[in-house]
Amino acid sequence: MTTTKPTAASIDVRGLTITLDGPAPIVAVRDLDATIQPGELACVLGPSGCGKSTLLGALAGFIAPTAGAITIDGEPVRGDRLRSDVGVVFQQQTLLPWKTVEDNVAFGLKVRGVGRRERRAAAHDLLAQMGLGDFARAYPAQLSGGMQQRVEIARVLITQPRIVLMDEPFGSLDAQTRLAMQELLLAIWARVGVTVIFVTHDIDEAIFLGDRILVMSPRPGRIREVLPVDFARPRKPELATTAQFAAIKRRCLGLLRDEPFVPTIAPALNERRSHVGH
Amino acid sequence: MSADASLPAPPLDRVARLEDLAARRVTPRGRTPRAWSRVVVRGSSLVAAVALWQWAAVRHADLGIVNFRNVPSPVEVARAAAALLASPKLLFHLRNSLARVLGGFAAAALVGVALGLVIGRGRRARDLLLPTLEVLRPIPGVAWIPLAILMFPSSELSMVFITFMGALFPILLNTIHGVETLDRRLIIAARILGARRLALFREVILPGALPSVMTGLSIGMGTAWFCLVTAEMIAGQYGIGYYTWESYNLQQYPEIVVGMLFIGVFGMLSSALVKHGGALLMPWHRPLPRERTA
Repeated sequence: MTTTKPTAASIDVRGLTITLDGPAPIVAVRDLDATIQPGELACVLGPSGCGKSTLLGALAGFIAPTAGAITIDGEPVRGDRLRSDVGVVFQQQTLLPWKTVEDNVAFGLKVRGVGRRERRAAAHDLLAQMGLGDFARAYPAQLSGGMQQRVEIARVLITQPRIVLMDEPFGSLDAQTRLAMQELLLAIWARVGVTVIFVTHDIDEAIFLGDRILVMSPRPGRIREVLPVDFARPRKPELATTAQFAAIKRRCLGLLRDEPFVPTIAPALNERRSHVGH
Repeated sequence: MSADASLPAPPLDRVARLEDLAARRVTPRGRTPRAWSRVVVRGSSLVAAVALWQWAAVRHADLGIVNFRNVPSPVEVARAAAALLASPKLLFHLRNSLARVLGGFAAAALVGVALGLVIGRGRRARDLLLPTLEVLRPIPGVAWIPLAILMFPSSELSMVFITFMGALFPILLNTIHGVETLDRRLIIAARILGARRLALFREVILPGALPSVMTGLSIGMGTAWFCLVTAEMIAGQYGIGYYTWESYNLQQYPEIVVGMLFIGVFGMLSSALVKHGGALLMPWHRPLPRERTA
């Protein structure tokens, strides 16, 4: 492996509030605090639309905080500048369709001025680790969803980021592929030792992967509770059948369901209730 | 290592979806005929059309609003074509036309793609350039003929200019469209990976717009020929359009049709050239293997 271990970074989020502007401004995240240890795999779990992705956007440096501060290793993150030491894996694949798999993976090195031979070698090395050695010359459209997502991860890791942000990266995969991807991610993460923030709305996924689970509230998102997940590593899928796993899952379900349930017909109901009250 | 690593080589995991399976049933009406019988049907269609033409020309058919009194028969046309093929005139006319069309088209491709990329990317460039271009756009290339003759010292240049004007807008507009409709997620993903201005342009925007650019080039090639032939008929000396019009003036009716056929053949060849060039430039852009509907 040509890559040396990058030094994983710590992240500190203090009083983060993000208002997304638009015709109707949305407070996506309000007064959020979080601390991520170097080399940690932290899962952010929360209902759809709770501001998980917005949080990642702010960490990556492409969404400016409205209030509060984010620091990476004590250094403040600016909202208007992308950081070269933070990698992002999206849910939908964003590989360049006109580049072969190897060139997609090597892309980050190419724009950093690494020579062709060297970057190809690094790409092949990483692809082999991802079980994609035979597909270096294929185009992304020729790969399955799971394979594309592995290329995405390889493409991010090749630049040796200190932090990898993953936004429901396995959300669109089928259950079996997702499980395989989770195991692969853990294996790679154990080898690379990078700080990972993994956003998901899948409770099982969060428990299986994470050192800790940061459970978010519905919008505007805050960290509702931080659950430690103390299972030994390497973890096996059978973990999901243990009582401890079930206990954590129950706790997560409770936290996610604990919110006041707001049905969409709420105004009408309230109205009727107020009539009854009269 | 993981579940889907053992999938077969491309095309991979095109898992059958119900809607695709269902769509396969929705074919044009009638039983799907066999390949050889389709060749026969297509061939007969052509033969029948030529036979109908021969009959109408020989009988001087008069259909009321249209008559075939002065229309040469296919046999006469074939004879005239053979004579032209044997004479040095053909190469001369073709060389002139091809030089004009390729010159005008190449200039339009260069200007159209460059302007399109700049306008598609930059707000300032768009405000600066687009209003003028929008005013010029509805004016057909052919409408430039009189002014072009006045503007350029040689009729040769004016014809190239008209061809250029004809090809410019399809290329320009398709390039702008290609840049504008490029998936923004690809751009942000590339930026996060560290791509800056120049790399972003070269690695993401240009190849991303390429399919649209090629569409523009292909349409532009068609309009380039259209404008050239018209220009040659009006302003030309030599050239295949001029040849066709001159044949009319000299009452050499079979030669008119020969000229038309050559225009068609060369229009088709140049379109095929553009298409082939596109396929070479975009190996990733192969249409997905189509379900065999035949």
